[in-house]
Order: sequence, then C-alpha cells, then structure tokens
Amino acid sequence: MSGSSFEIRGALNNLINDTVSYRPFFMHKFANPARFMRLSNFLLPWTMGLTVLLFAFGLYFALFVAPEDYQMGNAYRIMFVHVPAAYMAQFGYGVIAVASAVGYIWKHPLADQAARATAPMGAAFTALALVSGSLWGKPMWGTFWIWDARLTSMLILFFLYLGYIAVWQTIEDQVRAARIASIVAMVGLLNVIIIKFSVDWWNSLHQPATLLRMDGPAIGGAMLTALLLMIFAFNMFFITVLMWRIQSLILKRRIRSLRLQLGGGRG
Amino acid sequence: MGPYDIYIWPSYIVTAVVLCGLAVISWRSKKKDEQNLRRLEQQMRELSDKEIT
Repeated sequence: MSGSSFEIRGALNNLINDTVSYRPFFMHKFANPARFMRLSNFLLPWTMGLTVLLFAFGLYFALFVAPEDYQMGNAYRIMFVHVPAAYMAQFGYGVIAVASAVGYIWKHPLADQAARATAPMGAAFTALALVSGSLWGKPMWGTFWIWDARLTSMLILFFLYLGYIAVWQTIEDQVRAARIASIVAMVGLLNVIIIKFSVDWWNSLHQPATLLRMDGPAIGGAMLTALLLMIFAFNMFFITVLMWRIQSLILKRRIRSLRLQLGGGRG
Repeated sequence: MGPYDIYIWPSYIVTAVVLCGLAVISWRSKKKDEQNLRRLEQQMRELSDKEIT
C-alpha cells in the first residue's frame, strides 16, 4: 500500500475518532451527576411554582374565558387537555430519541438516565391523549375509537413506550439495556414523523394541525391564549417531574454501588 | 357546559388524576431513594470507623 493511502486512512481514522470523542461544551458541563443534582435542586422550586401558576391561568382561560365554539359548542374545551397531552407524548419520545442517540454515540452518563426517566411520563401523556381524544371523538364523530391513521399511530406510540420501558425492566445488565433501549428509541422515532404527517398523507377523521401550520394557527384570541398557557403548563410539569425522576435514578445508581461496596466489605 | 358535560369533565378529571399521580409517585420515589442513600452512607461511615479502630 502506498504512503498516501496510509495517510488518507490515518486522516479518516482521526476524523472518526474526533467525531465520536467530540462533545459539545454543554455536555461536559452537565455530564457530572453531582453538578446535575445541584443545578436541579436550585431550579426545582422555580419550575414547580411556574407549573402551578401556568396551570391556574391556563385552566381559568380554558374553562371560563375562552368562548364557546360555533360548531363544536363547549365540547371543543377537551382540546385544552388533549392537544398538550398529544404534543407532550411526541415531545417526550423526541427527548428519549435524542438522549438515546447522545448516550449511544458519546456515552454521556446522564443521557441514558434522562431517556429512561422520560419513558413512563411519555407513556402517561400518550394514554391521556388517547383517552381525551376518545372522549372528544364520541360527541364529534359518534364513536370513541376508529382505526384512523392518526389514532392508530398514537396507539403504536403508546406500545413503543411500553416496549422501551420493558427493555429496561427485563435486561439486568444496565449497560446492555441502555444500548438496546437506545436502538428501540431511535427506530421508533419514525413513528413520530408518521403521527405528525398522518393527517396529510391519509384520509383522516382527525382534524389537521391547529397550531403548527404554514399559514399560522387556526385559532386565535382567548382560545389560542388558553391553549398556549396549557401547553406551557404541561411543558413545565414535564421538566419538573423529569428532574425528580433523573435525580431518583442517579440516587439509585449510587445506592447500588454502595450496596456492592458494603456487600464486598462484609464478604 | 351543556350537553357535553359527560365528555368534558371526565377528560379534565382523568388528566388531573394522571398528572397528580405521576408527580406524587416520582417525588415519593426520589424521597425514598434519598432516605436509603443516607442510611447506606451512615452504614459505610460506621464500617470505616470500625476498621480504623
């Protein structure tokens, strides 16, 4: 092999190694579990307060200020819990997929824990979106359930969450569980894209996007204010509970390691 | 809310129950882990004190 081909191979290897070992600056900053515990303990009172405030204002606007819809009457008020729940269900899966990719590529110590902590919350939000959607569907469509593209892809998302949780529960070796769960999360991301575009790609009973549209939101005034307040409230709730859950997983790891040390000391 | 009461209120009640449940379970789990960790750290300290003496 010629010298130049060795040089090219060497340069390529260096490039691959640099890419894998590269971590953006913020990853170094938050890679330390002790630092995360300090930062989250500082942030938690603020996020808890904001969650309560946003829910108080959001519910007030949703139930008392937003006017009755001229077509759906008051039934449309289910939207103020259904849309944020559906949005958080997809956002949660996005968080899991990104955290899993970071954990898989850069072996970030907190990324896998963040993904694992998000999964039960995402499953709960998906279940809420399905239940509130059914309760909205009955008076509007005349049925609680239909095998429509949007509804079916949301149900698949729920099963993906359950599958992801099951991987962590059933595989004892945590490193191996993290690797397999990461793959499940990244492959499942395809379903989130299907959910988003399902109403455009297939004929659907489900209405198209209300907020994220090329021509701006389909609602305005107090309805839009109420919806945005509820979405922010759900987001703040997600951040608060996620911090508790990550803290809990960090503590569990420390407990496991101390138990091993104590067990070794006694033996 | 009129004729849609039986659909609107259950959706808000289910949401409230699930979100409160999620928050309470997560918070209690964290508190339990903190207690367990404190207990184990205490045991570790006692063990190392014994080894020193």
